[in-house]
Amino acid sequence: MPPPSDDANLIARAQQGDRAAIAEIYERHYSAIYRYVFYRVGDAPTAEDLTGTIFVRVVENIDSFVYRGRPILSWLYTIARNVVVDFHRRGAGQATLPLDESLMTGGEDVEQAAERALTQRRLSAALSHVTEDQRQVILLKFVEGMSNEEVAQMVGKTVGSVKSLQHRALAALHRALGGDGA
Amino acid sequence: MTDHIDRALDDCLTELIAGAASVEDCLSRYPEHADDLLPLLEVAVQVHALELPEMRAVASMTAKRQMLLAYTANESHLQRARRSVRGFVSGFVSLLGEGAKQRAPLGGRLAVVAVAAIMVVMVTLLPGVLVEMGRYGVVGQAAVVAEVVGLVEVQHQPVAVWRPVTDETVLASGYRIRTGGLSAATVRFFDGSTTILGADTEIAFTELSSRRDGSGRRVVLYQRQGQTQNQVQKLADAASLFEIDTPTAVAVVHGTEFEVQVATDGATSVGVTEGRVGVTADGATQFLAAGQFASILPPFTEPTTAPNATLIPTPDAEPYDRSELAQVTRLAGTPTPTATPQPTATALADEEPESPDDVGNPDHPEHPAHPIHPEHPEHPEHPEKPDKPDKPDRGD
Repeated sequence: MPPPSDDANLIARAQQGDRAAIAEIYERHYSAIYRYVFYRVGDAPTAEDLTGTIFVRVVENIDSFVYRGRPILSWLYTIARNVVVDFHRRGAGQATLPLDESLMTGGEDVEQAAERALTQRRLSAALSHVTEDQRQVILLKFVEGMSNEEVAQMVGKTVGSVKSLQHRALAALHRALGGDGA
Repeated sequence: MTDHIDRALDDCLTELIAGAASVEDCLSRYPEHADDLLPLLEVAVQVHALELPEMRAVASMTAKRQMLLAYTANESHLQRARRSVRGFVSGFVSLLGEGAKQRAPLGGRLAVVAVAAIMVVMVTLLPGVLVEMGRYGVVGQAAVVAEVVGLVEVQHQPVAVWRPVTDETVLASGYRIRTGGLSAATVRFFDGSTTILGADTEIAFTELSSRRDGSGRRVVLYQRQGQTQNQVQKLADAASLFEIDTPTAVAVVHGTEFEVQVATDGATSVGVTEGRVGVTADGATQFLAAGQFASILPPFTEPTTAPNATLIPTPDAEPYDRSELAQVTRLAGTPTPTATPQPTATALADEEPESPDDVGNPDHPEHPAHPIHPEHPEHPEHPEKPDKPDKPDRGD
């Protein structure tokens, strides 16, 4: 994760009309935003479209954004959450989660690939059944590989709260996957 | 108790993620919590082993272009707003400063006070005025080159040099784009409409604009030569339009898909895939339905039989054969030979005509004479200006 001063500098440049700065914000964070959206909608083309929408919304609001020391990715997640909520509210997100074709290529055994894709699909579906805070902690920690301190900064909580939240998040995910509770 | 499990879980997760311990190692370290920890650690391992979904490169590039396009549009709004506010404030401050510095006579001081009072009233009214300006002011918009095949170049006036298109090429009013042989390009406009340029095609961006509130979206192109396929978004208001001008025709459409082909002599063919397009030739308008096409010849093509070309669309709506688009020419009209070149044809569309009386609609005056684009009959460079020579008043 880039240092806060770097984020502040990028934001300031983007607000002054520096195209390179806004392009850099995109390059740094589009993958994380895409993954967040993918695990919310479970469909690659939809996630790609929504990622585009999110970054358009970013530039539409960049001028009114006030940097308060939290990572810019945190703001991007907030916009992403709103865009995904709008998407589901429109009823566009009711489709079942398809197998991601991109996960079934690469020359490995078809059965293995299908099994792996199925696991991916089950986890994606299960992630949609936990709360927003729980999902974000799981994604930031286990998918994005952030430390507890970084996660705490992202979600605006203490490290202790993050530890407690990850416990509840994993338990909820276990239940959503059909476990007997934890 | 819960705190203790939280800590034990976090320790285990940290070591698992780092690859420093296995699930069994963790459970043996915390046997009192083993039953609680096992399912949580198994889930964590599964999530951690997820293959990270990655955005396709082409989708990422498209999203980035969309963002930069929106950024360009947004930034131009903001710069204008900043300039106007700065100018207003600095003018006001300097006026007051001058009045305070100079020991002006009583009349002069009264004048300054009066001006200051007027300024105060203006400032009071300014928010409302700005809201209205913000709503109705016209701002420049942009387009991006979404896909490129082969040689595709852009030119921006007043620089006459053609430069190769790059991934992030953003086009605005005043730009031109051209494709070479065996080349193609897709241009995506700010309103979501797209134009695909075929090989050896050149278009100029005469106008890309909208009102600040997003209404009145205008895309006006000048197609000098070649072939374009155009997918036009349904436009929400009457002030919005998508227009393609050619040396011999003007096509104005709302929410449709159509092709325009301009031959080297300026002859124009219009084929409609979806929706309806009105085509006016020498002041007479016919509407083309989906599957119909029409061609407009320049005035000197058949001087002995059809100097005043009148355009007739195909009689029925059977899908046209695109490969034959350039070859089919349908002209009719009273053969009244004349030595003077006449305007050839104009294609206009918005509203479907209620009756044949719509032909020769006075709202759409005859197309001004610009036979075969006199500025550059053959030369591919068109450095003077991107606008077509003359344009009929559409009355909007």
